[in-house]
Amino acid sequence: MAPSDHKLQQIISTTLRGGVIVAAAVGLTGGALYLFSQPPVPTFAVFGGSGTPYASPTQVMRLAFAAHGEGLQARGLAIAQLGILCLLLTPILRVAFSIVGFALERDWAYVMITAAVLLALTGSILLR
Amino acid sequence: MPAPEFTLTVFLISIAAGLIGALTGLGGGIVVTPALTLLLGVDLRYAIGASLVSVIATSSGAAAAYVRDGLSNIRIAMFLEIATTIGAICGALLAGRTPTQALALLFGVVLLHSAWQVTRIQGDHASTAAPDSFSARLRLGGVYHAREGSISYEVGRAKLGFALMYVAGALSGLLGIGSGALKVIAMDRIMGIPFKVSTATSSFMIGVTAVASAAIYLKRGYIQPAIALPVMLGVLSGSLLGARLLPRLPVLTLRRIFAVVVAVIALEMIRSALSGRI
Repeated sequence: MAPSDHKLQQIISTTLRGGVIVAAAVGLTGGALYLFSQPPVPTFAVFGGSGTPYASPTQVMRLAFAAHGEGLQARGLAIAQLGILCLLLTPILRVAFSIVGFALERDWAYVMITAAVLLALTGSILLR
Repeated sequence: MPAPEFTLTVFLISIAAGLIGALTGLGGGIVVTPALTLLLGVDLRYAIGASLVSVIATSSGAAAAYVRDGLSNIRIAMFLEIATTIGAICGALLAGRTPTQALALLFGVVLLHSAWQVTRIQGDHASTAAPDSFSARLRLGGVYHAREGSISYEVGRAKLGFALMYVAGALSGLLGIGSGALKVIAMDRIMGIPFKVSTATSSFMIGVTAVASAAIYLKRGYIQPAIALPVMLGVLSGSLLGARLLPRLPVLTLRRIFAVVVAVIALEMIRSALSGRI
């Protein structure tokens, strides 16, 4: 392994740790709001499908931040989902930062390899 | 069950799952799915979505330390992640076309194999791999620091390892698990990478693998925050606690006990799937 990988290791390590901490903090805030709203008895025995607003990041943002939202319960759950979205973003950022790191090391083979991983991840976001 | 009690129950079950996952080395996600479906009657798809989220959290948390200490091999991980991410996408797409019952059955079988695998974990061994020309060109080999000093290793049979990683990715996407056991087998037994480096690199790869299918699951509504959040926080706490306790516990004995527990859960999952209760 090239000695200059050391800096890349630190960047990746910080990204991963930071992502988990942010996700847990945002998620806890949302979860607390949800429980505080005295939600009805949940039923998760039946699958609701893709119709839920929590399946769409734009809907999650709207429910979490709109001034006149759809009540505390929806806002709480949306903020909880926002925490989860932060978590999902963490590995993607890790890959993106690695491309920059390998480019700074002028290791073009690994820039290509890492770009292929990022391409696959982007594809998964666009796929249905 | 009212919402606060439900959330607390899910949280406590997930802590237990995280503990078992850390002590067996299987990761918490694989136990949480049968626990949620069998104990709380949660739909398998919600359980899979929640488990996948918890897998990303624990993998990222553990990998942060492994990468900092230079134990995860970033190059091996990046190269093999091409296979795991494509596999995960295929798995997630296939999951949408597979009946829940069949998924539950496959889940039980994979879990049973993992339980068996836990009893066979052996210690570290020196690298035995002769580097193939492909691995040499990609500079996959590396160095890690152990108590005995710096140990350098080479990587062999990279193409076979790559193919097996596609399968690991597909299973991860299909069942919402980390597939850590299979990743370690591919690196440790096939590619001849030292066991410590294999587990640390597997842990590092799991997050990226899982996120490839999580994006698809999110759009299908599998990730329901009221379940996924307490599962994520619970499994994360349980595995952090497990990692703390690990050096002070009789690990081999615990591993054997929990291997039996996981095997019983697996058989119960298979039975429920066959009788159509899932």
